[in-house]
Amino acid sequence: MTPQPQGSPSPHPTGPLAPYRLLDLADEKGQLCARLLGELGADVIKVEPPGEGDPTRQNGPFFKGEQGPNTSLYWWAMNAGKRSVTCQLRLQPGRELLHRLVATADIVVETNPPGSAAGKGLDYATLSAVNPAIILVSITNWGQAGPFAAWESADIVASAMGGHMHLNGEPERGPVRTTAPQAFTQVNVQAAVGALIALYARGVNGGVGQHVDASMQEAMTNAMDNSQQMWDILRINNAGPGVRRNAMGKPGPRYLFETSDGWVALLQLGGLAGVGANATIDWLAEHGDAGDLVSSEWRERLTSLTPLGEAIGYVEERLAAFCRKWKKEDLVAAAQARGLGWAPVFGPREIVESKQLAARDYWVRVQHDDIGQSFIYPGAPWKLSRTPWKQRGRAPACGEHTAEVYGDLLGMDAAEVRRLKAKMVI
Amino acid sequence: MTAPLKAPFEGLRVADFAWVGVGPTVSKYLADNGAEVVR
Repeated sequence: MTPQPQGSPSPHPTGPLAPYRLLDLADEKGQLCARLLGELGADVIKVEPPGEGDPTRQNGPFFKGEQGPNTSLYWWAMNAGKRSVTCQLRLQPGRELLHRLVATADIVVETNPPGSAAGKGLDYATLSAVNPAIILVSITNWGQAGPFAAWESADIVASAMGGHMHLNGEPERGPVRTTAPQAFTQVNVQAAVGALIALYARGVNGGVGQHVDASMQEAMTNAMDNSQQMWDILRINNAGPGVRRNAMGKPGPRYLFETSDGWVALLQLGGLAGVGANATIDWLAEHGDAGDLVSSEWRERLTSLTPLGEAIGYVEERLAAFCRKWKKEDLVAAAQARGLGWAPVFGPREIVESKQLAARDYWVRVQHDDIGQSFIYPGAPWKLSRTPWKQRGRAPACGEHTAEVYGDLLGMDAAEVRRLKAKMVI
Repeated sequence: MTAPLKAPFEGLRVADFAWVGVGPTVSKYLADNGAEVVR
């Protein structure tokens, strides 16, 4: 496992974004974006309201079940490796202070509802007047304009209106949301890509920044494979096929089967549909589970991909009976040894214990010096060979770096920091 | 803004040998931003 970074955040001078500074004013719609860019080397400064701090510090569950400003597992995950300063944007001196920080920064990430950023001095017109090179990344549910732009937003809203719920679920029971908030995740990755493109564009365009307008709905819609085309061109309206493959808008061959200790995912009836059918039939036959499938008629029918109609039930039952006799790990290892692309369905525990991820040195163990324990954190989403990704340490306490940042970046002395604190500006 | 802006990846040439399914989105993003992509 990668050694623990020391201090918080730990320096990352070899990161490709090491020369850049990012101000993170995002709620849960945008905190991952800033973290990803920080892990590439950017100096990420979380700007929080003084006092209670960022509202996502109150997102449960909490370490030891104890709610507090520094115990939210969500906060830990999304804000690891950032610095934190306080700044009250409801006060004019706070907005002026933010603008002094913006003058030293390259990227700002914000998630205010369209039209409301200006009240906090966070709109692109204001920020670009302060610093023409600034790149403002705005993450919202629907983008900055449009008939739905003023609606209340949430991950579930973007999942519903981005098309993904309709593509999941089962015909009998209706749409299903992916439990982990994929609208947030998708839009944050896209926003980070947008920020990187804008940074590159700034370099080829004489240092001019721009506004990156990232929509959760559009990020989800971008991840629908070819479902939009299937409607536009073929007039097929895809819907969730449950445990089956989606076959031109209708439930196709089953791909999920139960073993004695969990589920396995098998493409195209475990290979029983398509050119590889004979290999699977032979394997089932070795264990006495192939039934009539060993006949030349069935072999011809399965390898040629002739639609099975009602007979699909017979084929599925052969495979289901076979899978039920095995342990998940043994079954999949045997299948892969025969060149069949079968997979165990992993839960979080198996992900954490995965030999593959361990062999890739994926996890990073992060020391929480404030509570004297260490925990594993997700590793590199990209392994860059020369300018590597790096986990930067635990998430900050609210305002942990206030004196350091205002002192180093703005030349503020201790007396001025005390004065602004007394006035609730920081 | 005075001069017309360049697309970020204008002038870059990408040789795309990506596998069906997982790869083409990468080069599409580059093409969408001005790169010349040859499949």
